[in-house]
Amino acid sequence: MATYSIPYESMDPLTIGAADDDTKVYRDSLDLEFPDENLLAAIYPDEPDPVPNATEAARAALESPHSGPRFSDLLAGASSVAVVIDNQFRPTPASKLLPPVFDAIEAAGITDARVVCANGKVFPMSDSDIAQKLGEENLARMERMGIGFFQNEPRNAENYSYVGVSSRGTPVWLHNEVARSEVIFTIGHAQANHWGAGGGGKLILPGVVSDETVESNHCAFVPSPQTHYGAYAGPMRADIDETATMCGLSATMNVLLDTRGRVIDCIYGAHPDAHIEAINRFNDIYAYENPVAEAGPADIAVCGVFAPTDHLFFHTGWGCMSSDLVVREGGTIIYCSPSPGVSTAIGDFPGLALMDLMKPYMPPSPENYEKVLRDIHGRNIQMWAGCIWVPIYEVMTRKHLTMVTLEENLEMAADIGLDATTSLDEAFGAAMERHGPDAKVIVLPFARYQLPRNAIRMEAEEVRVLEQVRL
Amino acid sequence: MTVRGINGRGTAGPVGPPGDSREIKGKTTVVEVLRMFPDGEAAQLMSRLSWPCAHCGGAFHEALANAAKRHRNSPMAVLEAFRALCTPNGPSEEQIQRAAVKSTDR
Repeated sequence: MATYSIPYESMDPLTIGAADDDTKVYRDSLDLEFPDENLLAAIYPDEPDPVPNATEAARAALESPHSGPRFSDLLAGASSVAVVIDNQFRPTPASKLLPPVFDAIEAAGITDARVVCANGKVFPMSDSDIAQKLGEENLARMERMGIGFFQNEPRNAENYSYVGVSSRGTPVWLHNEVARSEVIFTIGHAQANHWGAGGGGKLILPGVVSDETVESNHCAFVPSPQTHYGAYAGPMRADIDETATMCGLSATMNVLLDTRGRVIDCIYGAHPDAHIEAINRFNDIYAYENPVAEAGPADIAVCGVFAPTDHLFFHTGWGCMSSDLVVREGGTIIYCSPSPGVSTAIGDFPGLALMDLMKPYMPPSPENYEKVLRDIHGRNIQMWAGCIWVPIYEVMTRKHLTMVTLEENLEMAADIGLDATTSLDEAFGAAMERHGPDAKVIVLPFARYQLPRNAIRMEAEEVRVLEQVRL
Repeated sequence: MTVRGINGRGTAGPVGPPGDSREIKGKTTVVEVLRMFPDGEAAQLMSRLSWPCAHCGGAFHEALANAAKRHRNSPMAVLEAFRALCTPNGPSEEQIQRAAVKSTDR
């Protein structure tokens, strides 16, 4: 008999990234005890120490590129620059990473510069969000340097410039403030995920492109079986990176955050190489040897939620798709996520906000998933949100999902048709009942980060053949 | 953003239904409607209609009638349901169901 600690945490990403406000931090853990003979694997990553100072790590990275020119050389002679950062739902500590970027812009004598928030189709940051994300000192400096701040407005067609059509058919319109910049530079959080990876070119698509570009990419590629955890080479991520190339993305700075939300690495360099390197380093830490080949798939996965996520199951629940890779068909995924919800400038959102979009398709079944697919391609489902709930729903058509959460979420869960409880012991007991006393259990305390190593596909297929034919 | 629920609920309290000066019209934007109901009633109604609008960047510019068209709901039925948020009992189940009908429902 052994006891396993499952993180049960919730933090405001702005808190992790920039504000260092401990009053907005909730850390807890749940203990689960079960017999050794039921254990398939318990995966606890071996994480490196955080960097002593994120600002200095960024400064060093900018002058030690993984590939391509140093940031100072990239800026030398350039007339304009766009710095693209991620939004309030990503934990990248932009306020700590921007000072050396502004130092370099100032040293290069560039006066035509802007910071653009890659909020995709998500509502823009409020004044308070902006102050936390960028930091008051950086905002004051931007004002002194004449650096404007812009957010994505995907429904305002006048704000976008047509770039072209990607190899996989995505029509691309890019935010004018980015399109008119000679140097385009992104700062983001690199992690493997269901859509291939976060960070890098993803700050361009969906970050700073139009509604049509986001929906086209997401409608076409989210449902693909080749879009999965670790699939950097999958059609979705490959289309994203090609689009970023088409848009002229010059370079990226990518931070790795540990499961406490601290910066453990910072990699700068040319697009897409630096981001690929960041994902390789991420995978070195968080990918695990898949026990399935030797011992068969798990009947039950127990997943936890940790710092660099946030208050909505919509964002914490991504590990449903990674645990899916090691749980047998008909198995159970127990997902421990407090998900307290958020209060924003435009109202309170409950912890299961946006998960309610799956309600018309409940209960999850292959037949109802077919209806989801019809509605995706009939444009009845907005895929900027569907890109998350649809894959979770698809897993639920094949596996039983039980959410362990705060009591305040139970009513909404019941209304949606999600199985939820406040007790991990109760959820585990019910799963053992379903699968019998010999059930095999895998423990993935940091499921959103963790993926089986044999799911990794890094090399995308070359599809721009016509460009070579027409040379 | 502030944490809601764990360290105490958000501070936004109910302000009651909008008065005549804030009547919900077809041109009222999604965000304006959300702000009229800081306790989340409008967001909950959007949830019943399977609209992700409360979280969407388009909400700042999108008028309610246009949102209805975009999501293939009847603008009149949608307006009726949102206007009913201002009544003591809120929209009836029948009003919500009428508003939720999609023009392409199979």
